[in-house]
Amino acid sequence: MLIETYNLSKQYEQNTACHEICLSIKEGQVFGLLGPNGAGKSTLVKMLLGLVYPTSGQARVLGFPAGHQKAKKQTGYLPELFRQYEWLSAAELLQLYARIYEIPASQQKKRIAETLQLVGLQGRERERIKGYSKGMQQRLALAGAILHKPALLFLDEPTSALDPIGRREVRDIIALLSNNGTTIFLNSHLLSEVEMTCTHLGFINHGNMIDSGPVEDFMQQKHEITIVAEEVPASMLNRWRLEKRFIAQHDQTYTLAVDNKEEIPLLVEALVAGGSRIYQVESIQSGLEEVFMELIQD
Amino acid sequence: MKYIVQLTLKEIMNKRILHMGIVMTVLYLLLFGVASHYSAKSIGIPGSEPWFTQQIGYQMLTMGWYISTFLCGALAILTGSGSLSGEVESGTILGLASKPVSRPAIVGGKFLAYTIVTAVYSTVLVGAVALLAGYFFKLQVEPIALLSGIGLFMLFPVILLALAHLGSARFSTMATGVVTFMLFALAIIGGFIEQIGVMMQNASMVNIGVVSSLVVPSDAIYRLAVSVAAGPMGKSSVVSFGPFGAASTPSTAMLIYALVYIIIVMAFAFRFFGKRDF
Repeated sequence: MLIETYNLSKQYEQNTACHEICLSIKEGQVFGLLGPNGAGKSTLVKMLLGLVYPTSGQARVLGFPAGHQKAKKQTGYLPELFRQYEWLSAAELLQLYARIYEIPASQQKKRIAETLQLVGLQGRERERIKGYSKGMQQRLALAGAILHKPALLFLDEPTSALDPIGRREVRDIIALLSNNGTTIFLNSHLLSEVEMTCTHLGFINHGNMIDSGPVEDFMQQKHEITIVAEEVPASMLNRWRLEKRFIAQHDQTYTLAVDNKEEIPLLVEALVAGGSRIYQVESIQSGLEEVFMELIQD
Repeated sequence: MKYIVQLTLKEIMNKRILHMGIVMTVLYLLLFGVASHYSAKSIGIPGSEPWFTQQIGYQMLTMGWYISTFLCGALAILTGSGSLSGEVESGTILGLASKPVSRPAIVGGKFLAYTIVTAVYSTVLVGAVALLAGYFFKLQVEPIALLSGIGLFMLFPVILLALAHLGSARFSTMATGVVTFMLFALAIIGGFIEQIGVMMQNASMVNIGVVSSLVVPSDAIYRLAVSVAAGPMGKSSVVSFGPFGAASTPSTAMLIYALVYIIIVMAFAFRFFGKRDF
């Protein structure tokens, strides 16, 4: 396991930021942590980085206690508050980080140029950060997080200051890093972004980890199909109602609930046997937003 | 820690407060030079005793150094108060502390960088004051004694820097600045009370001064620096009884105390910053 927490808790004076969080993240996963504002997402990440001390519980990152220098050396972090030293240029900042990460001097220049190109800041590296837009500063913070090719990358709201093009570029960077074997821990409010990039999800609310697991598990929790068919016998409709399978009907489109995928061909067979003509059968997956709302409201 | 020192030195060089401080310092030295020129000119009348010129010159030197304590103190407090808390308040600490840099390295590196800057600044400032006073009044000061005094004076802003780092490790920049200035003022008032106590031979007043020196030994270090810089002439001079002199010269034990004081204060700064949540 790359990240393992056991009953990890953080209590502020009157506020529980995280409560007994148990989490396991394996190598190569893109883990998306979802939750409303103030749910404890950023606090959890900060505890894993050793920036915030837990009140109780344990956390190990890359086999070391959270915040250990050896773990930090292989970790990258893009904070939600991505302020930089405004009196430096991007090149100077990345040079500093390269030295801190002990990237060999002979490779530093090349690595900095590659990273700047990856985040779309090439040609602007000599300018003072003070003159950068928020989006550019976030891109630079991302560059600082991935410069040393970390084994584990924490991204806390990585696209909050970016336009749609920038968001797409960050998604591409996440995909690239993931393909190269980097394990990614992503905090985001943007559910569509998480849906597109993550392999695993965790839901947190009021400091409690409500649920976690592979993305497919959440997306397949609700099994619904739509059937476009003509001449559906009334007896079939009554049967669906009795079985509590019937959800809605619009003209010749029927929305039905199924317990699993295997029921779908059986339903189609029964319809054909009853004399119906079937034009379309479509399986509906519930959107992440729907899953999120259900879990958070529960 | 090396990178933190380099980063902080660059940060300080970009601070507007330092640029303003340098301009104000140049103006102050110009004013001091002009005042010394006219003062030396007015007492350089035929028949005036050389010892009298020396006394006035020494008085000007101590006054110049005393005012320098305000400049050095202000620089140390205004820059040092936000040394750590400024990083926390702006959020830049998240980028730095998440990297393989230990918290003691951050505190130590920043303190060292600020110490280098204030030490260089105070050396240049009091050195320039001594040169101006020496030139206009033809002061007979032993070079070794003067250099020792300047070396001791460097400790003065470092004491305030250590206090600023202690506050900055735990509290906000504003709170740290206010409290450190109050402690600085306490040391000044305590020093004055002690000087007056010595002149009036009032033991209670002297004791108040001693206690204030134990709380914040900055003023005591200044008095020690002045006394050492002037050598035998300063000690025997009647002007050592003035408000800027060292009528009650602190002992070597005070120097040791000040060094231990800085170490202890910084140990607490390390401890507080090490336990702080970002």
